[in-house]
Amino acid sequence: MNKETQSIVVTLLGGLLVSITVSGRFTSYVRPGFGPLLLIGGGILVVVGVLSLILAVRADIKVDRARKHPLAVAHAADGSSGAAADRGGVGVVVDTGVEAGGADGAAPPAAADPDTHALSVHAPVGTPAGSDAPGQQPDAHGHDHAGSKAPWVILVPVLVLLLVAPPALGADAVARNASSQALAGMSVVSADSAGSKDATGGGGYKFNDGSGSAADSTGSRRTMHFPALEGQNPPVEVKDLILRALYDADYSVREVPVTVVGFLAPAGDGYNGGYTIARMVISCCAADANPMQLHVAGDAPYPANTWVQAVVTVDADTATLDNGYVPTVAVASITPVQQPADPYEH
Amino acid sequence: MTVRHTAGETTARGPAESGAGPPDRALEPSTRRYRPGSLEIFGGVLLLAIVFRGPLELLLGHPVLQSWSTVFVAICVQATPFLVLGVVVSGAIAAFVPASVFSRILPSNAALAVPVASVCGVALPGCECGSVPISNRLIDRGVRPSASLAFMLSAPAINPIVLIATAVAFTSEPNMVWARLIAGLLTAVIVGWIWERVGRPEWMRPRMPAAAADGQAGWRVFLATILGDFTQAAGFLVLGAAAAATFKTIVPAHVMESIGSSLLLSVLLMAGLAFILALCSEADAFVAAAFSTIPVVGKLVFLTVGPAVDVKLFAMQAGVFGRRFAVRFAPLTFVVAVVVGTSVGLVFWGWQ
Repeated sequence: MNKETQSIVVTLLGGLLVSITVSGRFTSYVRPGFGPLLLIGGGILVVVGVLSLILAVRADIKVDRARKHPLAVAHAADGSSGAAADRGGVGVVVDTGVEAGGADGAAPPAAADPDTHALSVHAPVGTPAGSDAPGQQPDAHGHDHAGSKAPWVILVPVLVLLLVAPPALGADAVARNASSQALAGMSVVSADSAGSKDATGGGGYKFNDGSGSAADSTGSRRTMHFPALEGQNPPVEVKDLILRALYDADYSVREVPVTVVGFLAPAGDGYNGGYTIARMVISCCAADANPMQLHVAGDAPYPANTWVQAVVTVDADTATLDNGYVPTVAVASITPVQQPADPYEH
Repeated sequence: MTVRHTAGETTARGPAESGAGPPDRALEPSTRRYRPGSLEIFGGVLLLAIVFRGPLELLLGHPVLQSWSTVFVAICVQATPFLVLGVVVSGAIAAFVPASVFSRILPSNAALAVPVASVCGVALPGCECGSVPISNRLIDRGVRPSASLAFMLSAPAINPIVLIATAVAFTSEPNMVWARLIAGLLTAVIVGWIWERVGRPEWMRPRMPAAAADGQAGWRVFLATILGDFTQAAGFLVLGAAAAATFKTIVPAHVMESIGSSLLLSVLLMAGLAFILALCSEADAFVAAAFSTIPVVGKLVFLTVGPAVDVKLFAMQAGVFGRRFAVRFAPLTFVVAVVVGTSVGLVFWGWQ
């Protein structure tokens, strides 16, 4: 890939990063906290790409001019040295014919541009024909780094983003990544450990002894404490609701209707019939996504992947080892909504 | 106008400029054929993509491929800012830091240079993708390869951001931060020492003469290094992201639960997972913490192997240092990281 194309690809990638950040689409891929990083990274890429493109084009113009007016060699030397420097960073296999090519290149343009020779991987440079004059220039000035096809691959995510724009993970990923909810997504829990000898520091991991069970030998892991819920049908994150249902020593969601936002998915393992209201939980990007599911009996009112807002009440003790600790909920009302600005929970 | 300069176009432009035309070139017939330059290929790819947008969308609309492409794009998007940070540092080293600085900082004695370079890794806040081009640049600047590689391994494992993320993820296991710091450092130092003994320069891709950069305006070198390093490393990052997304999509999550609490099995499983999931070192602690059936030693192995070697890093190292290097370095790092991670874990937590 030559200099100009590299610059264009880098500019394109940087511009895309900035544009998905500004438009908010980036939350389908990474957590919102990444926004500033993406803006800075994308911005740097755009600046680097545009400047490199200008330098490369200017260098080419100067070399062109030098070829047409061989006397302007000294002038061309400035420009082409810039071009050569531009190439400095790329790990190119240096052709063994290089020295000969440079020495042979008695023709003004070639002599003016020794560094470019050193980086050219084209055989003709080193052949006797290398001395045959201005006509040789295009090859001698070759930008192609035959050793590196790698930059082309950058086009794949660029095109996928540009043309297809993959949506946030949905029902397919729920089925694919489902694991016991007694184990998953337990990184953020109230640090309040008062009255509990188990909940040191509040991390959720201690509550599992490797059995995959949410109940220990004493029969209960309800050792966590959560902030009290206020108001009627208070909004609660799906993950928060499941943690409360499984571990809350104060039973804050027992027979208390709450409002959740999630998308519909087919019922999970261990359930016959019904459907799931699910939400993916990520800690960094969609590559580490874990589903959090609530099971609902009955037929799904909307197709899979429809985002809904629902008022639900957890049925006591429905989350068991056999169904992966997916609690069943009774739905009081369910309405389709727009996908939230951040489709994931954290 | 830029198009004309792509190397392959000798034939296309020949007649216009000298009248003598292509025949007087001593070119092989095969090379005289029209070969499109990269800008034309680029344009062609864009055109094809736009023309076939419909079918492409249909293909990627399939649920499996949709999940795959979301994860694939997510890894690329998430890693790019850190890679940019890495190549900017790399460019600054190439352009503004004279080689003598490194010879002054680092002891000339290899046995000492490796640990010193490893400890320097604390100063680079980033993840593993950024440290590959930096390490490459350090070798260019005359730092001995073993020390540069040790720096490459330690920086993503022990920098402050990663350690803070680990502390947040493992609130119930505060020792994990120290265990991770020690295991990451030890892995880097041991691999560096081994490489000092067995590593051969010819395994690495031949380097450009460093002199090429001398005498140029600093900011031009800076810019050129950023562009070159970025396009090279990002290409391989994308390959690694594709591999990781594939594993993430086809390996069902239940696999991990069935392993239970066997220490040996869990260590091997977590090491393998760290390799194929290719998580960013700033995120892996959260993922490790969520594997609740896995003993804590297994989690430490996950956190030790992940920043040192994974499928994405392997692809990037093959691209930056050459394939012959990567096929030797990656297994060495993997084995050392697993052994060190397990040993440090056992010292901290014992058999449980």
